Amino acid sequence: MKLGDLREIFKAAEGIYRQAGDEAAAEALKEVSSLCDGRESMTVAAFAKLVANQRPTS
Amino acid sequence: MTVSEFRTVLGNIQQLCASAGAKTAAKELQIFSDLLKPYSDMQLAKACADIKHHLSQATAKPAKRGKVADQSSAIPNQDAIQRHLTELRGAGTDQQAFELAFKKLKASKSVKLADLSEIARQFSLSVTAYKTKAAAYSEIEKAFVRQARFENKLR
Repeated sequence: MKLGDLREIFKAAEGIYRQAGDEAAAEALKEVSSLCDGRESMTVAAFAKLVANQRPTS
Repeated sequence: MTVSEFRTVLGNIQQLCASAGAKTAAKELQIFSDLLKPYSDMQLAKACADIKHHLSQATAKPAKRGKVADQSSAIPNQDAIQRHLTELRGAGTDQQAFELAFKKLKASKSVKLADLSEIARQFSLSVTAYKTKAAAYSEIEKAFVRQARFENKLR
């Protein structure tokens, strides 16, 4: 699955959470969706590999 | 919201997908959730900013080390890089579309070795410093085949 497809899932879920009144979750999904921007054709597995090479900064 | 809390949200969406029979989506959501695991204690906004920052650094790494004598050739042609990357990625797993984009890339005289290396790195998600254009072309072709095989496996 590509990041573009995953973003669609996030967007759909964002709509559901927003309708349910859970703005925090909806905003969180929106935030995470932005990670997919510009990388729509990349697979989720490839993206995960790329992120796995990084270390979180404390 | 912390990443840990967000992973719970992802877990709920994953369960929803699984119960709707969307196994692939559920699996991919799990992969995404796992990649966020090292960031669990962070605020989600900070983690996203952190990931974006690292990703932008990874793609903007210079092709050469040390040599600064010829600045004009060291400055990457970002327009050409982005244009060719868009075409190559746009081909997806379509062999003909890829060959067309690849042919265009090979014919482009404005693309120097540094540019081509950057295209090869971004397209193949590697960090290799290609010493020749041939090596970079070869890596792009290999990356396409890898991608196509991976996509076929998923079908």
